[in-house]
Amino acid sequence: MTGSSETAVRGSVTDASAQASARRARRANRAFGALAKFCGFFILALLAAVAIFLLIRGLPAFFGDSASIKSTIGAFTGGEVDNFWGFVSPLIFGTALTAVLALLLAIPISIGIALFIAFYCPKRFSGLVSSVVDLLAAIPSVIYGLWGGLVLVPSVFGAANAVSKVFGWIPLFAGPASNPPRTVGTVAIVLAVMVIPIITSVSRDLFKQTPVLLQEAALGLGATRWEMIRLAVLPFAKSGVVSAAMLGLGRALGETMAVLMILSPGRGFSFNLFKASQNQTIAANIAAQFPEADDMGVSVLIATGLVLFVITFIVNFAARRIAARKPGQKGKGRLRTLLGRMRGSAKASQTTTADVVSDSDISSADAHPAIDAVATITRSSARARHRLDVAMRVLIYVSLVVAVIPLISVLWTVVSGGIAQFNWYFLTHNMKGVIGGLYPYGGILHAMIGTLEITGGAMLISIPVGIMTSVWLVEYAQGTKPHAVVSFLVDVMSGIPSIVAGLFAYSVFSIFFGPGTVNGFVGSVALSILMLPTVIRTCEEMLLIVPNDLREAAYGLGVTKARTIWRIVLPTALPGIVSGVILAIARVIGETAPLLIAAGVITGTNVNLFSGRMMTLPVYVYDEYSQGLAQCSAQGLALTPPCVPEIRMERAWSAALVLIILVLILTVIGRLITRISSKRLGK
Amino acid sequence: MLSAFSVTVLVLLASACGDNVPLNMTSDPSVASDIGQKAVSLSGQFAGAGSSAQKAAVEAWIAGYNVYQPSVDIAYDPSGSGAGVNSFLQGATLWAGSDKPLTDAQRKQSTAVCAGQEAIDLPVYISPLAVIYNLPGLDTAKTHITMTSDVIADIFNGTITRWNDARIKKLNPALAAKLPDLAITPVWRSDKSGTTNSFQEYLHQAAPAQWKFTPQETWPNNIGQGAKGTAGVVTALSQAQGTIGYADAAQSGSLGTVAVSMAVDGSKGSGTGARESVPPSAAKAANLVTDALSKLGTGNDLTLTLNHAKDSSSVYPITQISYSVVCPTYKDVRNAHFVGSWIEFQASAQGQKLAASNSGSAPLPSALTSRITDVAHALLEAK
Amino acid sequence: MGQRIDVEHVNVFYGSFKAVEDVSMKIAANSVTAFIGPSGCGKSTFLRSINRMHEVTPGAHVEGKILLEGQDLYGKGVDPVSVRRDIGMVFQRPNPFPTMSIRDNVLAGVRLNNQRVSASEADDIVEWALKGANLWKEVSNRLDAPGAGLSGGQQQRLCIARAVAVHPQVLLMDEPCSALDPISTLAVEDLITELKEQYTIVIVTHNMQQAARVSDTTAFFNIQGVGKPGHLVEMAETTKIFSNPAEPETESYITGRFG
Repeated sequence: MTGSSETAVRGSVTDASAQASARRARRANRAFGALAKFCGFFILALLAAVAIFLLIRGLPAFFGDSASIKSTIGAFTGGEVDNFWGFVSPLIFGTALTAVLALLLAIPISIGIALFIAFYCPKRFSGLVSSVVDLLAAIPSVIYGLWGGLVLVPSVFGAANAVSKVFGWIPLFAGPASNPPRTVGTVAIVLAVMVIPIITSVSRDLFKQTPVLLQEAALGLGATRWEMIRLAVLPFAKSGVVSAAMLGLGRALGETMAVLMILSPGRGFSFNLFKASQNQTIAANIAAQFPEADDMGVSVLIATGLVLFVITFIVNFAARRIAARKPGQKGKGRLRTLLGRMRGSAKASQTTTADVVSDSDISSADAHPAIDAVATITRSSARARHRLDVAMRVLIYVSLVVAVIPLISVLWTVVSGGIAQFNWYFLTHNMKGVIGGLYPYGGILHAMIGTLEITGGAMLISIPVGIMTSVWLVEYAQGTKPHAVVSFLVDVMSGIPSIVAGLFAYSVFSIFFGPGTVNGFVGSVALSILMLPTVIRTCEEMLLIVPNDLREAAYGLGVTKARTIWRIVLPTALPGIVSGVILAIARVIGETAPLLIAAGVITGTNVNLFSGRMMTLPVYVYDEYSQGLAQCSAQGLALTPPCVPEIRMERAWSAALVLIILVLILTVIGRLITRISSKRLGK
Repeated sequence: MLSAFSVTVLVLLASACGDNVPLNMTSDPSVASDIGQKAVSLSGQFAGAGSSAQKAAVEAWIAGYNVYQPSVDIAYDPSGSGAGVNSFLQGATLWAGSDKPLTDAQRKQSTAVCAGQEAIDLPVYISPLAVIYNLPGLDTAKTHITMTSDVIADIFNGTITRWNDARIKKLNPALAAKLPDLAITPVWRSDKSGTTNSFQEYLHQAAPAQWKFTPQETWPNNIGQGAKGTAGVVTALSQAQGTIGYADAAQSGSLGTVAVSMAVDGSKGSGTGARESVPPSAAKAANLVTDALSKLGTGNDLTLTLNHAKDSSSVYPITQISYSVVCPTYKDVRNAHFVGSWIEFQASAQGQKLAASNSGSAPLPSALTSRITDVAHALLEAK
Repeated sequence: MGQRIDVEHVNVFYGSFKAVEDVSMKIAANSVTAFIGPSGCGKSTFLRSINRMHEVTPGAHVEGKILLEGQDLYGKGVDPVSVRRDIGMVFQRPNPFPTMSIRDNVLAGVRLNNQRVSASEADDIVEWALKGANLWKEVSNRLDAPGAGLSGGQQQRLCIARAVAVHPQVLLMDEPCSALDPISTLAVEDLITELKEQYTIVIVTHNMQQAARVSDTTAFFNIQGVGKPGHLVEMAETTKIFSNPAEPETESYITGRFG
C-alpha cells in the first residue's frame, strides 16, 4: 500500500517528477485559459471590425467629393434625390414595413403551431411536427425567392384583388391591386414563411417549459385547455416569445434574395400592401445595385449596409433586454400569490371554488391578468367557454396547416422542376463549354466543389474560434461583466444581415488586397461571420448542459481546469457541439447574397480557394435563373438531343433540388446526433 | 517530390474534369489565320468581366475560340458593366464587356493598365431590343402590334393607360377589335442597366416631346413595375396580362413583340408617306449600326453613336450595342497576343454567327469587322 | 494511511457574504467524522473548503488555516489543484464520466494527471481500487462497459473507487447516500467503515441515524437565522453527541424539535 508516510501537500513534495508534471499542468492551464479569453475578446474585436470596415469603406458616401456623391445617388434614383439621407430613408421605411408586416403574419401562426406542438399534438408526433416546421428554416432563401417570384406571385392576385375591392377604404388595402402582385404584401407572406420556424422553435421550447405547477393550478380551477393556456402559459412565456419575435424581425430585416426576386421596387413611403413599385428594402437594393456600381456607388451602398447593421443591432439589443427579464420567477411569484389567496379564503370560509376568488379577494392594486381571468372564468357560462375552447383549437390546427402549405408547395416546385436535369451528368460536369441551350447541357460540379471548399474554409475559421469562445463564456467568465458584453455581442452578430457580412468581407479584402478582390476565401470569411454566432450559442448550450457534478468530480481528483474542460467537459458535450456545427453549416450553405458579392461567378472548376472566382450552388441557382431563355435556332431544336430554350430554369431548379437535399441531409444528421447525445446524457 | 507531383496532377485533373465538350463545333477556314492553324499556340488563363447582356454571346465565343486554341482557359464573369469596367481598370481582368463606352475619366484612368495609352471601345455585340407585351387572344407568332415611337414613349410615361386606347387602335385597324379594355402595366428594369440606357436613348431621340428624361441606366419613373434583370422583366411580363416591357428580342419567348412603325424608304419627310411596321429584326438592327459607321474616326477607338431617330423602314431603331473594352497595348506581351486573337475571333464572321445563333444578336457589319481586325493585328504583332 | 486535519479559525465567504463563521476543530487520522445540521447551515460549504473546492465558485474565498499533518493547505504558494490530489471527494449524486468506461473512470484521476502507468500497472490499480470499493466482484467481467450504465449504488461505489485510485490521504463525502436506495446505502456505509483503515474520512449527512451508525466523531453545525453565517455548535464522540450532548441546540436538533 502506497502513500503511508508521504508528506501532505504534493505540491511542495520532494517527488520531482510529480512536481514537474504539476508545473507543466499549471502552465498548460494558464495557456488554455488565456487562449479562451483571447477568443472571447476576439468576438469583440470582430464585431468592432465589421463596424469599422463598413465605416471606412462607406465613409466616402458621407464625406467624399460632394459632386461625385450627388451624381452617384442621382444615378441610383433616376435624378430624384441627390443626398444620402434622402436616398436611404425610403429604404429604411421599406425595410421596416416589410419586416413588421412579416412579423404580424408570422407571430400568431407561430404561436399557434408552438401551442399545437406543446399542448394539442399527441406526444409521439410532436417530434415529427417540430422537424417538419424546422424544414421551413432549412430552405435556402434563393429558393424562397424563386418560389415566391414564380409560384406565389401569380397565385396571390385573386385574393389580393378581392381584399382590395372589399377593404379598399382602408389605406393599407387601397386598390387597384397590381397585376402581377409583386408587392409588399406578397413579400411579407414569403418573409413570414421564413420567419415562422424561428419564432416557432423558441416558443415551442418555452411553452414546453411552462411549470407543470402553473398548468395544473389553472386546470384545477376548472379551466378549459385554451383558458389554461391563456392563464398559465402565455403570461409565463410572454417575454420569451417577444424576444423570439424580435429575432425573427432581425431575420426579416436582413432578407435579400426573396425581396430581390419578388418585389417591384419604388422610392416612396407608402403603406399600401397591394400596389407595386412603392417601396424597397436596404438589403435588396444593395444586391440589385452592387453589380453595376462604380467606386462611389459601392461606398454609398456599403453606407446603407451600415445603416441596416445599426438597425438590426438596435432590434437585437431590445430583444436581449426583453429576454433578460426572467419570466419564470415572476410567473411563479404571481401564482404563489394566487394560490395563497385561494388557500386563505378557502380555509377561512370553507366555500366552493366559485366563491373562493370573489371580488373582495381581488384588490385592484395587485391585479394580475390571471386573477382577473379566473374571476371571469367562474362567471361566464360554461357553454360559451366551451365554444371558445373549440374555436381556439380550430384556429391552432389551422395555423399548422397554413405553415405546412408553403413548405409542400416549395418542395413540390423544386422537385418537379428539378427532375428534368437531375442526372449523373449534371452532377459530374461544370458549365465550361456549354453554349446556350445546346447539348451538352452542363452541370454543377464546379458549384458543388466551390460550396464544399468555401463552407470548409468557413468551418476552419469559425469552429475553433467558436468553441473556444463558448468555453470562455461558460467555464471562465460566468457572471462577469465581460461575459454579459460578449454574450450580447454574439447575439448582435447573429442578427447581422448576410449581405452585410458579404460587404464586410469584400471591404476587408479590398482594403488589404486591392479593390475587386474576389475569391473563395472572401466568401469563407463572410460565411464564418454568419456561422460563428450559431456555433457559439449551440456550444454554449451544450456546455451548460454538462452537469456541474462532472466538473467537480474532475476537480476533486486534482485535475486542472484546462484539462477538465479539454478531457471531460468538451468530450461530454461533443455530440451536441457537432450537431450544432452541422446545423450552422446547413444554414450558411444556402447563403446567396454574400457570395454573389464575395466569390463571384465562374463557369469552370476552380479548386483554389485563395485565388480566382468560385461558383457555389446557391449563386448557381440565381445565376441560371437570371439569364432567362436560351436562344434556339430551328436547327438547334431539331437536333438530338435538342436545343432546350428553358434549359436555364431547368438547371436552376435541379441545382436548387441538390441544394435542398444537401441541407436536408445535414439537418437530419444534426438532429439525429442531438437526439442520440441527449439520450446519452440521460436528458 | 512525388507528393508534389501527384498533388499537381490531382489539381489539374480536378480543374479540367467536368468540362463539357460542345458538339458541332468545327473550325472555319475563313476565320483569320491568326487564330487558326498557322497561329502561335497560346496557352494560359485569361479573364474578362462585365456586361451580362453579352453573356450568351461570350459563352458561344469561348466555345468557338477553344476549337482553335484549346489550351487557353477563358473565364468571363457577367457581374455587370460597371463591375467589369472597374475590374478592368484595376488590371484584374484583361478586357471588359460594357454596354456603354468609357467615360473620359475612365479613359484617363486606363492609362495605368494600358502601358500609357488609353483603353478603347470595340463594338462586338449588336442586339435588337424588343418592346414585349402580354395580351390574350393574339397569335404572337404571326401578329405584332404596331406602334409609333411617340406611342411607345407615351405608354411608358403613363400617358396612354389602356390597351384599347384610340391611338393604338388607329395604328392597328386589323387588331382593333381584339384589343381589350385592359390596363397597361409597363415593366422596366429595377437595376442599373445598359439595356435601360439604350431604350431611353431610343425614346429620347425618336420621341423627344414625349420622353423628356435624359437617358441613363436607371429607369426614371414609377409607372408600372420594376424587375431585376432581364429574367425578372420577362417573368413579370408572363405573369399578368396587359403588361408591356423592354428586353433583348431574343428573350421574348412566346410573348408578343411590338413592330415599330417606320417610314418606307424614299417617301420620308411627307406626313402622308407610306409606313411599314418593322418588327424586331437582327438584320435591320445591323443596318442602324452601319448607318452610324460613317461618323467613325480613324483611331482605334470605335465608339458608335446610333441615330435612333432615323425614320426608315430599312432599320430597326431600338438597338443596343455592347462593347469589348480593351487596351491597344499591354505590358505583358502574352496578354496582348491573347486579347488580339480574342477580339479578332469575336469580330470574325464565324464568331458573329455563333453569337447570333446563341444570343439573337445581329452580326457586325463587315466594315466594323475589318476595323476591329486591324486593332487585333496590332496586338498580335506586339513584341 | 490517513492523516489528521487541524482546522483553525476558518471563515468561509462567498464574495463578501460570510457563509461559515469561525470553525476550529481537530479531525483524527483514520477516523470517520460526520458533519450534521439543518439545511443551509454551512456544513457542505465547510466540507468543500477542506479540499479547496469552494474556490471553484468565482469570488469565493476562505480565511483561516486548515492543516493537513501540519501543512497549511491555504498557505502561500499552495496550488489548490495539488491539494485536491491529496484530498479526494465523493459527491451527493454519483457522477461517473459518461464518455468513459468503468475502467477508464477508475483510472481517470491517474490519467488526467498525466501520470504514466504501464498497462499492467493500470490493471492493478483498477482491480485494487474496485476491490477497495466493494465493486470488483460485480463489474470485473465488464470493465469496458460505460460507467453510466451501472445502478445508482454501483455508480457511487465507482466514484469512490475513482477517488481512492489516486491514493489520497483524506476522503470527503458530501451526502454520498442521499440519492441512493436503502440497500445501496447500506453497502456504501459498510464500505466507509472499511475505508477508514486507510483514509481519514469526513462525511456530511442529513441522516442522523447514518451519522450514528458510521462515524466516530460527530460535529453539529447550526445557523442563527436567514442571512447569518453557519457555525460549529458542538463536536464530540458520536456516542456522546447522540446520548448526552453538551449544548441545548444540539439536543433540540437531535430530538427532532427542529430541522
